[in-house]
Amino acid sequence: LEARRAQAEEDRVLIEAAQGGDQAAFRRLVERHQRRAFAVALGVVRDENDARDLVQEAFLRVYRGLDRFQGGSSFFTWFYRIVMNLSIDLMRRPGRREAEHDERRASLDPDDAAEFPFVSRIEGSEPLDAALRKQLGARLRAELEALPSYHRSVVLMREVEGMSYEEMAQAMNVSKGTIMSRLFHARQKLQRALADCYEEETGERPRSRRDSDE
Amino acid sequence: MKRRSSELGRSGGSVMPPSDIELMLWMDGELAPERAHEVASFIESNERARAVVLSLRLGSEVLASDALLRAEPLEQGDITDGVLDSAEAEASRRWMVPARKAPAWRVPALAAISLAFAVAAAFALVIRSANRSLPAPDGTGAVSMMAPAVEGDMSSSGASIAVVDFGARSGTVLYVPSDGEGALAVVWLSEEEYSASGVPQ
Repeated sequence: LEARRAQAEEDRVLIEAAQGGDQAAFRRLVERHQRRAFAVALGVVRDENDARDLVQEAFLRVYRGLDRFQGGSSFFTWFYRIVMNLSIDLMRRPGRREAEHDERRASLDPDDAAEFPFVSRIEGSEPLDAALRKQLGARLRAELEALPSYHRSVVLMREVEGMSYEEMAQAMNVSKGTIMSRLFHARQKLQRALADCYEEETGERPRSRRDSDE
Repeated sequence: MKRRSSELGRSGGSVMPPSDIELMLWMDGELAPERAHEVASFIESNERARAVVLSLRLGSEVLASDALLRAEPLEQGDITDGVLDSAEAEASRRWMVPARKAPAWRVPALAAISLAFAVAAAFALVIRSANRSLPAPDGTGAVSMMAPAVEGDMSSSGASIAVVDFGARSGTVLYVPSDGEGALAVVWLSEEEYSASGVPQ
């Protein structure tokens, strides 16, 4: 949290300098954020060229709006709001529209929570070797890509950028509760993939809640 | 949120065992400080809660590192140079063209206003030229108007005539009674203009 506060403060200083016409400060701001922004955008739009164009356009909009930016709000919130709006526009283009899941089906269900999968054997075991980690990464990526875009967005903003629920809520223009719900369901699905992968690799079935009840 | 009875039994004391959502919130640092403290104590003493948190952490770590690994092909200058080149181009355009072009949404409105002005001007020209082309009666110009009834003259013969000097021109005003309520005044103006000495020119 402290590191994040320090980062926000550095962003604020750079933005103030850029507002005063310091091009080098703006360059530094872009350099600081471009890779993670690209990683998030790539995960959401799933096309390298689209993600690159999208992030470039988002930074350009930041540049155009520098005069209007006030230090009271977070740069992350502002920037990712632009990124998310551009992503939504892109996904709505003809031929790009994906089958979105019904949000109502994704609402919190206590029975879902009762089946929350997990890998209990991880505790105390050897650190994951590189091969298993790579395998897990591929499995999680496949599972992530199967999620609706609003679930992918929230997972990536959280895991890659470490954004708070409040920041994500503002960036996506939804309530904190919706962010929590989306994140929980997305992680449940990812955890299932993790458990399956663990089972395949180790030959052991991860213990679930039901197992521990028995 | 459902909770297992075994968990409740193990929790001991009055601390409410955390739900899976609370475990996730705890891991993300989104729980209120008081509850976060309780959940931390619970996780220490509960194997399943520890496993949930650990597997969530593992998922987060693997996902983040995989996403950043996929972003590797992005070269440092890729986006930065593109953004700064576009920004510089925009800045130089601002210097070259001080007056900003009207936004696209304004163009139809401006066109409509221009068209309305053009139509109004054309209409005024048509009216004006039509007025000019009306044939004027030779020698006289006639104006009629309703004048208040003049009791003396109107009561007897019903009509009266007055010669009026309009300055440069002389004229005749004829009052004709009209339905007893007023009089129709007909004015003739002479075409001849008079000089200051009173001689027709």
